Amino acid sequence: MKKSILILSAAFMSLAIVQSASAQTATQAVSLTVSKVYRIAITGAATINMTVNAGVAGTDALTPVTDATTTYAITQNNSAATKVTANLDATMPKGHLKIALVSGLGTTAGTVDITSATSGSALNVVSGIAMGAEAGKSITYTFSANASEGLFVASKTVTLTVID
Amino acid sequence: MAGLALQNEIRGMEVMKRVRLHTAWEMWGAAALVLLTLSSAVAQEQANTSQILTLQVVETNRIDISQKSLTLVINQASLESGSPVEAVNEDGMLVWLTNGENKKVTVASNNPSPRFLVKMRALDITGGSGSAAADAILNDNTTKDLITGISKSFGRSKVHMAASATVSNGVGTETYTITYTITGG
Repeated sequence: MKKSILILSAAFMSLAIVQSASAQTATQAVSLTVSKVYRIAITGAATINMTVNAGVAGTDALTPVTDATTTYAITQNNSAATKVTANLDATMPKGHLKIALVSGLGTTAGTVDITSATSGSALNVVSGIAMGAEAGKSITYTFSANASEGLFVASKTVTLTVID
Repeated sequence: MAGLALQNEIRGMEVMKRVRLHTAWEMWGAAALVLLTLSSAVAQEQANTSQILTLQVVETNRIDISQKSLTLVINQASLESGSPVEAVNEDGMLVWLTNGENKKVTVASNNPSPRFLVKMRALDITGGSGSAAADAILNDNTTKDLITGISKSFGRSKVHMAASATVSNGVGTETYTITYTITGG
């Protein structure tokens, strides 16, 4: 009798151990975060050359020249209030430079005169950009000058900034 | 005994004051840290890219005359002298443009030995610069000055053109092609 009880107890204990082993679980908390991502890049020639060389007799304004050989790409995952601004490294004492950006995700400001826009006074060129990405959107520059401003050469750095 | 108690009380107040001051410094430090963190986060919320533009304005000179063709007819003579009276035309408007300096407008006829005499001068010059030269007498096909001292400007003027003849020139018709040029002065 004692032997039977001993065997039965051993069997129960084994079963309990097996059940305990099969019921083991582990949990882990995984925190996922997507931070604000802003990216903008220009595709095309590193340097654009624009030359004014024509005009109409009797008119001060020389014939403007345009360049639309470059495009930009943009990625942003923030709010729809994101915008692109443009500015020069320094103001232009002579001539005028205008820029126009095509946009599918936002609203273009059309042709914007950035002659006097520097980093502290950058101008909006696209606004209300929806979250997402797009590429191959054209950048058009228009350079103009007056005959009364004479001859000149200038090297200007244009900076496009995506910002909310 | 009372004095000792008063001293202890004063010490206690000083300790409390130091604790409050320390707490205030800690709070200010924490606030500054939060502001710094926030400003860093804001500064990161943008991206930019740049492009270099080389802008150049080269010398540009343009000139045009409104009256492409005109006829001067000498058909009257002076009662006193009997000489033919010159025919005059001032309907032509000359316009020009230059972004260069020290330019002038010249005229030249294609007729090396004209039978009649044609004289020209600029009238009523408007624009930033330029002065009328003396009468240009087209008695050959060399270049004559019409307007001088033009720099970085656009302008316009009437063109006074007069044709004259002598009795000995007889009658006849001659055609001239007059070329206006804006060039370095």
